[in-house]
Amino acid sequence: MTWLRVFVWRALGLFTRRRRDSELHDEIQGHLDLLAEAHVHRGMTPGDARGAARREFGGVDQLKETYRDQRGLPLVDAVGQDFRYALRQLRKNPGFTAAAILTLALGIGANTAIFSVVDAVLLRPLAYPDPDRLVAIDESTPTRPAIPVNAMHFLSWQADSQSFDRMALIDGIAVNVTGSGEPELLIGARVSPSLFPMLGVRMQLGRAFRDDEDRVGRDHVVVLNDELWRRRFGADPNAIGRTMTLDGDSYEIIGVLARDFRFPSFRHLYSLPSTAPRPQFWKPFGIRDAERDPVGGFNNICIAKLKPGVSLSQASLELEREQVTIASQLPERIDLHALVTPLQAQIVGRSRAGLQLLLGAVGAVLLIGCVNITNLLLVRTIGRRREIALRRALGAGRGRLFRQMLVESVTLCGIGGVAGLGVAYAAIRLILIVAPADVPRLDEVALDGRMLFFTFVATTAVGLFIGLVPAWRSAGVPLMDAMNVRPGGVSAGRGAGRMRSLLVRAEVAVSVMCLIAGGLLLHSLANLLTVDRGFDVEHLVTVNVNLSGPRYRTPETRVAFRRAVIERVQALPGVSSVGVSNKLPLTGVGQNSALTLEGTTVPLFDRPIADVRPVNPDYFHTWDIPLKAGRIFEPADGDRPVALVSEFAARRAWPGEDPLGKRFRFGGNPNGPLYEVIGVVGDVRNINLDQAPAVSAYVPYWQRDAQFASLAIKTTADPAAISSAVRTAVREVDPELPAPAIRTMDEVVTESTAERRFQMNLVLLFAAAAMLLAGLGIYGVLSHAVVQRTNEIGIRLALGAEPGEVRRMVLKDAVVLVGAGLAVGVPLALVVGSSLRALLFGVTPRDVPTIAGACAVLTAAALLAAYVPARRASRVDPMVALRHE
Amino acid sequence: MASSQAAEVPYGTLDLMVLKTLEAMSPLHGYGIARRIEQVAQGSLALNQGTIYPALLRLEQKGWIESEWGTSENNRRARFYSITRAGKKQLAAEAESWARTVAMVSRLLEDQP
Repeated sequence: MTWLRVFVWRALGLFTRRRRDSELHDEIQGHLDLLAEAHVHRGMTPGDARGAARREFGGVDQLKETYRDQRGLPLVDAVGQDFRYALRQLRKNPGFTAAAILTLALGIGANTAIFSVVDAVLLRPLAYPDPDRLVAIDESTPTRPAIPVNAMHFLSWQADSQSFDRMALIDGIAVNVTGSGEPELLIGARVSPSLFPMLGVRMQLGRAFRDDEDRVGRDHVVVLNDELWRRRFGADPNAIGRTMTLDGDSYEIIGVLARDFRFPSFRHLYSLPSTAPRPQFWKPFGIRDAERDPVGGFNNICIAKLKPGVSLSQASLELEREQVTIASQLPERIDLHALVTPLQAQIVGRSRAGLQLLLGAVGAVLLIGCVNITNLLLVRTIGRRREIALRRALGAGRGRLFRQMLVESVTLCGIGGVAGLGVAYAAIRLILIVAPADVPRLDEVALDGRMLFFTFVATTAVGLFIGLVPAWRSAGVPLMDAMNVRPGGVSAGRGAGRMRSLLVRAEVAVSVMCLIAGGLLLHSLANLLTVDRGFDVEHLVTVNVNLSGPRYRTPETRVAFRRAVIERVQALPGVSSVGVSNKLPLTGVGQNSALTLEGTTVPLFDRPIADVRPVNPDYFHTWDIPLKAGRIFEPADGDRPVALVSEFAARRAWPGEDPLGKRFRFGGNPNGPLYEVIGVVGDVRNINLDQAPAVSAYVPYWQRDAQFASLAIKTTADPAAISSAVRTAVREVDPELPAPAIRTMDEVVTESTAERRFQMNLVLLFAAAAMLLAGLGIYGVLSHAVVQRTNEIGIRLALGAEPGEVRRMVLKDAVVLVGAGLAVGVPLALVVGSSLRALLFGVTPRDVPTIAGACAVLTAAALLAAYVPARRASRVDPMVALRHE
Repeated sequence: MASSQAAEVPYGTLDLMVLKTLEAMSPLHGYGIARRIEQVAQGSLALNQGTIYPALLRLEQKGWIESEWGTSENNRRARFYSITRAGKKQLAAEAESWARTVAMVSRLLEDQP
């Protein structure tokens, strides 16, 4: 351990330099005095004695130098010196320093912010115990890759499988809470009691569910999340034991979740498109009798925890065997499979590609920013050749110069990095505000120790990156050349010039890649917004009412509500028509049901799955969905089961036949009503804009029940005015219903594309930044080249060249730079582009117009950047230029 | 004193000499140590007295000697060095290895015909 002692001594020596210096001085002086005295004793004169003492002692200054080197850490000493020198240098060039630090701060800050998002969403394990053992389970058939889980199948997995510690079933519910406070629509979850221990849920109050509460009749207990407890109960600890009226039934509040516990959103857990948010409360699952049907009700989320040491594939294999057993006992022949996905992948999988693209784009901006600073440093190196040469002549080694230059760039980056942290903090706040709710786990984003570490690593890496080339070049300056340099002379740094234009080409290549990516996203969004949705959104105001609770125990009561509300809203001034259905378009899946055609022999799971919408006759007119054949049902149809199908549904169910008059049932129940197709309507993108129109079937709302009543109101009136009138109408029909959410359909469309917009805006922002920086890079290189070539340009002009020719010469240089950059960037973009496929809509990664557009924009920017130096070149005064030495 | 026949200090032996000196008579200031070494060498060693200071620092960093400010015989402030327990152990080890080296080298030289 002696070395450690020595190191500590030396390290301490760095801080006590001054005291130790004076101590050493005293010690040596004392020594010399004693030595001189001894000589005087032997008869020397004091003067001779001092001289002799010095000779005997040896070189005092040499000794002090050796002593100092040995006392401290010479490297640290020297770096400290370099550091102070670097600060001086940076202060001397405030323009350069400010530009570089700003670039670095923005680059590092943006990267830290985006990385912290990527880290929170993709990299960090889920905040539950043993996150790598948590999985999501879905069922699947050869035609449908992921189907939510049937409760009966879940029960047999739970009973028989050996791979899992625990399994839990989750189902989303929407209830109206009444009683104390305003009536309100709450989103909750029915969950197996095993879920909370599996996710390591901590309660801040009360308890979690007991296993015996997972039964209908005993399941009237609820656990609240912190937000709901604060909002409705004012954070009262005595809320435990109180009751809450949900849909008219009273539930005992038994617990409140810890404030920081985050339950995933349904839309991220559910394997079908959904817009449902996080639950606000939980109750035991309590499988209902209606759900004890092994071929219906594929509605639930299933989460399970693998036993330690059991792999994903082992668990999959076991569940596959289970599915074969289950299928063999079903009345229908079904080819049933199971899909086991790591829970983290299930939650964040759909966001992965977008975030990776963002990380790539923001990294590219930093890269280009670095290249620009490297270029500036290179220019400065050329300007400092004389200084460097002088240092070398005075004995500074190459290593020393190299180090000094690196310390300068690292210092620059250090300042940029610290400022970058501030930028990152602001950017994260901004992202959290503008980000759509669709991004999972976004609330876990924070500027923490991991981010500080990231910033530190990024800063150091950037510092080395931007400093390495200039440092290497300045250390490599041949002494004689450097001493001979005339300031601004032609001979200054041809090699550096080549290096700089190479770097600018790289910038162009990287920024064209960003532009292409941004362009593809822009093109996709434009496609998405102009895609033929099959319905019209103009002048549409939408209302969503949850019909649950004591007044809506039977389908008839819901029908009556719909009828009454339609009547009242229709009568409002400015309303031209009202459509009602169970779910608004573009808000995920609604009622799904297999179409069982009359006389079919097709196995249940291979029958077309239809999106079923119970609607009123005016629905089609309100949404502008065209009638293609037959007629629309009317009140006179009464209880006669009639249906309309979409064109796609007709083609899928009865290819090549006339669908009118054909009959079918919904689902597998052979005793269900037999619906007759009386009309065919246009195809509609009901689920999502980016999902092709599904098989759709429309039935009279008075024949088929639905929990939600979604009204679409076609009106020329002001949406705000109509909203309050509609709220009043709803209250008149049922004063106990929560005030419904009212939005224009434009808002619904915007919301459904929010994540795409968010991604696209950020990528375009980064692409614009990349282009701006690349433009600055081109400007810098050409300006410098013009200055260097002032002489030559002067000669050309003196020999009769037109200013226009000179301008073109410089612009040609710009075109060459850009052309070379594009020649590399475009092929690279083609290679990398395929990873974007998941993010694109209606455009391939090799879309020629997009790529050509990106190239054109970048070339235009480059020419713009080149114009100033070109103009300057054409205005060179030959007389001045020839004297320009 | 430095004479024309005086040898340079063999590399690495200065530390050993300083340690030995301090073992015999601590505490001692730098001048005293230098004097003592010269006396023992009886003029057979060319020692720049200043060179013992880096050696003293080295030994102190390794924890083999320690120092303290005091007053010298001519009433000046001086730093007095003394050997530590670790230093004594180190001295014993180095003295033994030195003796072995010397013995080995002597044998080698004597055996040569």
